[in-house]
This record gives sequence, C-alpha cells and structure tokens, in this order.
Amino acid sequence: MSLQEIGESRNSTDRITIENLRKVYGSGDRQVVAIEDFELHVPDNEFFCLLGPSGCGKSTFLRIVSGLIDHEGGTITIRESDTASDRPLTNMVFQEHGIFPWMSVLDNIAFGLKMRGVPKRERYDIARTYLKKVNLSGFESAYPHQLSGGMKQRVGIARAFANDPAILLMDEPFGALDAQTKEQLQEELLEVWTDAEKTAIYVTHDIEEALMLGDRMGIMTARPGTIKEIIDIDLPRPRTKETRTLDEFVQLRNRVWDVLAEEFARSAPPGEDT
Amino acid sequence: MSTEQGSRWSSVRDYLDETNERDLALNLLLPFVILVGWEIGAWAGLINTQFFPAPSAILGVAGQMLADGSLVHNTLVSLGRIIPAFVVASAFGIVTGLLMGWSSRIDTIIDPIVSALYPLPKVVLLPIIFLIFGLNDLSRMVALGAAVYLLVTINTVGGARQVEEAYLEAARDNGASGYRMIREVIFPASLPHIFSGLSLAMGISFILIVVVEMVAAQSGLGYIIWNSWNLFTIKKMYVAVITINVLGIVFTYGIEAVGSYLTRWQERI
Repeated sequence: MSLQEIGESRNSTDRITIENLRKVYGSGDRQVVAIEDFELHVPDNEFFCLLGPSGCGKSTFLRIVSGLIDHEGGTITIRESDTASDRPLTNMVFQEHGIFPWMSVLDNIAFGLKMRGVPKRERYDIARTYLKKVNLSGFESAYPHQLSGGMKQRVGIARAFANDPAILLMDEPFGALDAQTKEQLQEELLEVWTDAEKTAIYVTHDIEEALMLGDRMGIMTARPGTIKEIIDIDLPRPRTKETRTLDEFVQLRNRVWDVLAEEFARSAPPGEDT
Repeated sequence: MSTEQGSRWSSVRDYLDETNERDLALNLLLPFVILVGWEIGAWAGLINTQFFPAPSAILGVAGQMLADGSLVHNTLVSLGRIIPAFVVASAFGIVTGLLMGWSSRIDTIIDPIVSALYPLPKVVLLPIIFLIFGLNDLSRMVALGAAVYLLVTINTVGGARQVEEAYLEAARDNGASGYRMIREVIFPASLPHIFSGLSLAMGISFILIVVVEMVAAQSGLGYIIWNSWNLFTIKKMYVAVITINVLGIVFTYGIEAVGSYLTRWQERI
C-alpha cells in the first residue's frame, strides 16, 4: 500500500483528503483493527484538531499520514505545495524525544533542511528565522539538556515550520507540559501558524486545548478509531486568555465533553496510547 | 542567556576544581606512604632489595636507560605496535557495531561470531596467529587488534541497539535514511557506549602488548620485562613495568577526555 499519494483531490480547496482509511495491527486471530472507515477532508490553511480518548488511534493516524507506518486500506491524498516543489508533504512535532540531544538548538531546527540538501548558510538562515519566531534567540548553540520542557517543544515547532511542509502534524506536543507553559506555548504556536499560513492537524486529548487552537475539531471513537463527529469552532481569533471565558467557549466545551464522555466510558479500562 | 550559561559553567568548573584538589590529595596519599615506606624499608634492610630495589635505585636505572636511549626506543616500539592496531581495529569495530545496530539482519548474521569469540581470551589465539602470519610484528598487532575489535564492536552495538525509537522516528520524519541515519543519529547516540568500549580496549591493549612482547620479541617494553627477569636485572624490569603503567593511564584517560568532550551534550549528574 502506498504511503502517501500526491495529486489533485476532488475538492481543490482540500489540502488533504483521507478516505476509507483502515489500519490493522497483528494478524490472524490476534488482529486488532486500530482504525476503520476513517474519512477526513482538511481544507488549505485550516487548523484541524483531532480529539479522542487514550488508545483511540489518533497517534497511529498521524503516523500513517506522515508515512512512518503503513496502512491496510483507503487512500490519503495530499495536495503538494503550489510554490516550492522540494517541500516535504508532512512534518511532525512529537510529544517527547523529538529533538536530538547531541545537536545544538540551531542544528536541530536545521536538521530537516540538511537532510533535504539545503546548503549550510541557507539552512542556518532559515533556522535562525524560526529560532526567533519561537522566542529562543540566544539559545542557538545550547544543547537540549540545558533547556526546559517547554523550550524543547519550541525547538520541535521551529524545526517543523522551518521544514515548511504542506501539512504540519502535531502529536500532543504540549502533553507533557505544565498548564501555564502549555497555555503560553499554545498562544505562541498560533502566532507562528498565523504567519506561516499552514494546514495543521493537531492531535490532543485536551478539550480546551483543541478549542483554543482549532478551526474545527474531530472527535474520535475508541477502537476501531474513526471520526464520530466534527465540530466547527467558531471562536474569534486571535485567541487569548479571554477566549476561555466566552460563553461560546463554555458551551462548546460542554458539548464536546458530552460526546467524549460516551467514548471514555467505552474505551475503559484506559489502555496504552498508540 | 550567555551570562546565565557562563555562570553555570564557571560554577561547574569551581565545583570540579574544589573536588579535584581534595580528591587529588587523598588519591596521592596512599601511593606516597607506600613509596616512602618502601624506600625506608629498603635502606633499613627490612625488604629484600634483590626483589624490591629501593625506588630511588629504580629511578637511577631509569635515568641510565633514558640516557642510553633504550627506554625511549623500546617504548616507541611498543607504542608503534599498540597505536596502529588500536586505531585500525577500533575503526572496524565502530563500523561493525553501527551496522549491526542499524540493520537487524546484519546483526543476526554477525552477532553469533562476535558473541562466541568475545569471551575467548585472545592470548590463546596467539599460536594460531603466529602460524598464519609468522613470528613478526604483524602477528602481534593482529592479536591485539582482534581483542580491541571485539570489545569495541560489542560496546558499539550495545549503544546502537539502544537508540530510542523516538529519535529514529523523528529522523525518518525529517528525511533521514541509510547512511545519513547512521551518521546523524545512530553514531552520535552511541558515542557514550563507543567511548566506554574504546577506554576498555585501551586498557586491554596494554595488558596484551606485554604478553605479546614477552613471547618471542626482541624489543618493546614487554620484552624488557621478560628479558630482565631472565637476566635478573630486576631494576630494569621495574622501570619497564612502571613505564607501561604510566602509559596505560595516560592513554586511557586521554580517550576518556576525548569521549567526554564529544558527549558534552549529555546531561551530567
């Protein structure tokens, strides 16, 4: 099965089209269907949040889209960049251990560009631009062990934006951070994303985070994973601390919570997040 | 940041300086007591100086050997055997280990041989190696190299197998594969293990060089030790023993210093 297909999707405003996606782990009697009947269309420049209980297959889904793992059925169509053809189709911001401890901050940010063969001076120029955008100026020669958890995730975000992929994939990048750092980074991420005009798929299990970040939110069911409901998040941008106090925000949160509650109940006992 | 980093580094250095000074004094205490005791014992006739000549007498012979050039010559001969064997064998060992860590198929093919030969005392191979390569320096270096190669391979593969899947995944997602995966991820991630292998291998090299030179060699520090024993020139023997010891320490620490510089990205506790 081909990992990613490049081409025109039926709806030309869609950056990515996923149809009938199916992922199976194991074989024979011990087969586990991780994802089934998964369908998703994400238009250009949309920030799409994927929300679901532990083990519902949302990380698996991201890894399929990124081409890191195979899938057993269905199609993924990603519309290539209109401008630069050497851009990667996808690039991922990982939750943990996504940046390399043996590389300086700058080398980490420039890593994808280096793998793509971008000349040294050019890739460092690009890397410095994003270093600044994620507020890490002055840390370019620091090693990751000298950074806090939030700073490490900024490096991961800077690398992904520096790579300039057609689609940005984020796998709970702030999942391991404390609440305050998380809110701070959410705002910073939105700033960088707004400047970059980029399509993003963001996986999280945090309802408020999804509401703060996304244009739309897909709520996944437990195994086999599929999208149960898509909710439009019509909250004004830029989103700030005040956004959380809006009536619409509270109403949306309650609505999502009702949908999720059923799924949490179904997916118990809590399993490993795959 | 620069000031923050600067103060952190200087405080680390202060800490090291303090502990170094204190530790160094304690480290040197026992050797000093032993040497002084030995010297006094030798002069007072409490120790048999035929077997344990006074340190000052050994020093005198060392001076003679330095003057006639024999100490420098034989040291260089020994180093001339150790260094090429060590460098070539480590390079092959690192490459083998990285390939094994990178590809489970290569690992499956090579692992049985490496694991089977590793526990074998390499000295027992010496007669076979002499049979194959003749009674010459090449044989001695092959014996040394075999030990170094296996040790470095085993340690490198230990590091390469333990590279976190998350790093490999992130590298793949950023377009790394094949050689560049090894160069950019597996190799640097394995460096701490590689250097502990190199440091062990250096220690083994100094043990083996003595054994190898004791057997049918006409030069080298190991030869001096064996020859002095046969001729009962015990002071010469001590000079060679101490020289080997000092060189072993210097080279092993040298490797550790290079290693800790190259892995300065690691969090140190």
